[in-house]
Amino acid sequence: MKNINTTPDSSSRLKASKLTAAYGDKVIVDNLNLSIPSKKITALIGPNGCGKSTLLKSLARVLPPTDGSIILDGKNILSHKTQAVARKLGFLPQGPVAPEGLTVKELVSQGRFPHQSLFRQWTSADEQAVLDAMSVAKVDVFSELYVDQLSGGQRQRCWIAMVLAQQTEIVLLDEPTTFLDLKIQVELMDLLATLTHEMGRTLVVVLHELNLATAYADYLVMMKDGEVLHAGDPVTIFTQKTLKQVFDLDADVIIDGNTGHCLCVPHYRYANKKQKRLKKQAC
Amino acid sequence: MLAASLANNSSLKWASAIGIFVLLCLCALLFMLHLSVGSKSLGFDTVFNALFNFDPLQFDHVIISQLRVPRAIIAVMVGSSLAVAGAIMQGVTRNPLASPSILGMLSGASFAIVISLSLFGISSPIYTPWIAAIGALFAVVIVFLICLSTSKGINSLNLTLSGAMVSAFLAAITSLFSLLDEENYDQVRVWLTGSLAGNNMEDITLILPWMCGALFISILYCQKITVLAMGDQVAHGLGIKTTRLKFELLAVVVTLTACSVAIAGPMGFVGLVVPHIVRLIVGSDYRWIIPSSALIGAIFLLAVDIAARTIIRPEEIATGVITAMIGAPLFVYLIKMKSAQ
Amino acid sequence: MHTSLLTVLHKEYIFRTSNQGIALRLSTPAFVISFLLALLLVVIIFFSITTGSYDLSPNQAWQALIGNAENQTHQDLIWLFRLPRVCAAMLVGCMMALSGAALQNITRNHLADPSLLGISQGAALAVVASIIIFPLMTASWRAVLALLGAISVTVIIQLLTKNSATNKSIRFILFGIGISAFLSSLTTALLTYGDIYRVSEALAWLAGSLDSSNWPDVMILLITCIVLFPSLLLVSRYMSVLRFGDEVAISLGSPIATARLSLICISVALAAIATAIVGPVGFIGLIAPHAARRLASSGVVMHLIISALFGALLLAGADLIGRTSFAPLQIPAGLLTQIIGVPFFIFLLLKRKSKQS
Repeated sequence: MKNINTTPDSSSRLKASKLTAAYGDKVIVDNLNLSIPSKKITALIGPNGCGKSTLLKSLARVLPPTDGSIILDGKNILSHKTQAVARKLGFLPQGPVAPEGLTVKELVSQGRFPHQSLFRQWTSADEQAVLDAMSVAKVDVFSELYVDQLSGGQRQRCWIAMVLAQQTEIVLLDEPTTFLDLKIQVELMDLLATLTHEMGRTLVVVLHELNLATAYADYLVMMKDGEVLHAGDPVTIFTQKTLKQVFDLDADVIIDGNTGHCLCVPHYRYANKKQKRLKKQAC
Repeated sequence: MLAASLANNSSLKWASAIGIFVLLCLCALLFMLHLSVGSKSLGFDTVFNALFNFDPLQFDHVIISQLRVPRAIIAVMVGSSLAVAGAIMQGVTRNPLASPSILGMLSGASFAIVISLSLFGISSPIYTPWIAAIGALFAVVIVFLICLSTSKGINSLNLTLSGAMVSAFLAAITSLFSLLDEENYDQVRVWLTGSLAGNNMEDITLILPWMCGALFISILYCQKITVLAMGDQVAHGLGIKTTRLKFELLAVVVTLTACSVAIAGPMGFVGLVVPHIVRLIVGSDYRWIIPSSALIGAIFLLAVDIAARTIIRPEEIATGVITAMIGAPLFVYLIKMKSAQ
Repeated sequence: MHTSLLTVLHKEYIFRTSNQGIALRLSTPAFVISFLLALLLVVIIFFSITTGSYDLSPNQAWQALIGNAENQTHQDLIWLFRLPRVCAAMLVGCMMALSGAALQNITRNHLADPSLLGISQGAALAVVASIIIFPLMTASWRAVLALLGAISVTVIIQLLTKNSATNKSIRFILFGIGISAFLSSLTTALLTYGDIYRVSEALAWLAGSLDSSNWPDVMILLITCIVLFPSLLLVSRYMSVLRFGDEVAISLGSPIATARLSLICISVALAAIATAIVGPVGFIGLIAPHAARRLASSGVVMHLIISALFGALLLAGADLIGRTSFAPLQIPAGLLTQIIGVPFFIFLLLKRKSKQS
């Protein structure tokens, strides 16, 4: 099936061009084209195994492509020096694990690595960036605590602070909200939204929760079986038909009157039957 | 597997009986071969005559009866004992890596023997098996205690690692004592690498009954071991008192190991390698694994000892070294296979 | 949980030049600990020189050191035997500690140690083979062979653990133990084959003993340290991000393939050459980095320095104890490190809680 040629965004700095990515012999993504719009939140959604994590890792150059390329600022990303890329593009993998005995400040300081060298290991710029990152991510109160002592949500904010300290314009995050309480998920997405719209960054997030994606994404990318089936404004592409096509999900899409966001309401068959039965009994 | 074997009773029994017979013949053959090789090669006819028409005036006959027969008998006994001990351990712990060497029993036994030699001067074969048994038991208890104290409890990798560490520690202390006690060290140096030489028939006859007794008990228990190997719950369900059985089997394993070490020193990896070979041929039924292990263990050690004495003739490599050379790669392979799980 | 010994001095000292061309952060506790360890080393040197089968008074030792020895015996005792021996011990301790620190970092496995992974045994086998088969080889050529042996073992381990998930687990150590056992058996077999004099020489060396250390040995060790320690410091930056795993390390812009390769080469070279000179000495590479982390939390460079100092102290101390406790009998230092090292390893094994494999 041919890939949807997404509207080429002239200001896009990061593009996947005819990307084929595989783990060993297993090809996950085949001949994929995608332009990431700048200074916006792009959300990658799709069923398990559709290749959204793979795509993200390829974009972050963590997974080298088998064919095709990732273009950053007009050049193949692999032709840049990796340290130079790290100054422009930050990546947070899924479920990162910190070594034992690390304080929050030490963890966040690691994010300064691309800006440091053998002799310049802690400039005042580094120091300031770390403090700023911790304050934006609201983990400055935990600065001297050990990362292991924090809760899941707090820890995730520390990791985000680390990526922030890297001070990159483009930030890629792989399922940053999975396994967290809904309240924390919303807080994290608010933080990411602040980064994008108030601090002018470009964000690409892989999300598992559909309603979260539609609420926060400026550019929604729906993937299935290693291809981009739909990409664009959530309100336009997030429909009953596309949900069925991509997720094989029977659902209604309603627009929230207050905010204008789409919400997906699945057809809960058993629950609906139960409702009807209760209604019948009441009458 | 058990049900199937019970169903195909008669045909399987015939096949297995023939198999055992074949192994017995192979064992006897290697026994004869073992007697005939050495720094002086002797023909089969000489060997035959020495065994059945012994003539004390013939020098060759004396060599055979005084030097080689004891050694061959030791090879058979130690080979079967260690193999059966390993088979039992692998069945009970359901861990293909378990064996007397890996769980530290061999190091414990040799440690105890060397200490008692240095500190109390005990070297008589009346006492050494008991001392070795205490040492082996001590070592395996420590290994289990360590495993229990880790957060993951007793799993095969933990057990193997703790065993390797305890072995290394006891081996180091044994070396320390050997160094401190120069005169006795010479006595034990060769023995510490696992050697079948240096024992005479009187010594052997003191220890032999214990080994035979333990082997006999193992064969008696083999059906229960099969059930135990299927899991504690299954065993409970079939009415077996698992804890008591495990203790009894532990006693058997310790006896087999201690006697082997008392005679031949710590012969590593035999208890690991042989049960695996046996399982490839015989399957998972311990009613056949135990007797086959005994026979294949004897065959294995006879073969290895023959190799040890002929590879760099007239010198000989310590048998324990060759068992390590064969066993260690298998150990690595087994670990790799465990990764795949 | 992980409290450093000097919580009072919980400060750091930041050094910046005016244009921030140089901007470094130094943990004060780490600096103090290093200083204390260095002091302890001097104390050990002092004891090593003065005690033994023939005790010297401090004054006599000092006179011999400054070239004003009372008699030839004192002169020889210090300059031919004791001083080179303690120098070799310190250098080997350093090298093994650094090797272990690098190895633990690359494999992300806190139980790693060159002797537990079979690297020392590979070097040992190569050296024993050279002693038996080429008895006229000089120490420097033996070092080269040891390096080849150690590299071969490393390659084998890399091939066996291609799936990176196994690196962090106990499985990895078990591979090493199996390989070590195999190599040890080969070594023992070789010993049976050889001529009695060469075998005695090989046996003595195999025990991990600093017995026959002389100045040429010390020179080889010193040169190796001078070359490899700064190289390690050059790539030390990458050690701190490698701890987070490949994905984070790549995204932070570290060239992990080059970094890994350099680290492994340096680690193996350190272990191999140290083993070539004094025989296999185990567990220092395991204990020293852990002790360093316990003594003071710090950046990578200070961690390496403290590990090196601690390793030197450990081996020099073990050698001193082995030499003097049961005089005139000499217990090889390698045996002592094994006797201390195994309980320590078991202790670490028991402590592994949350980071399961």
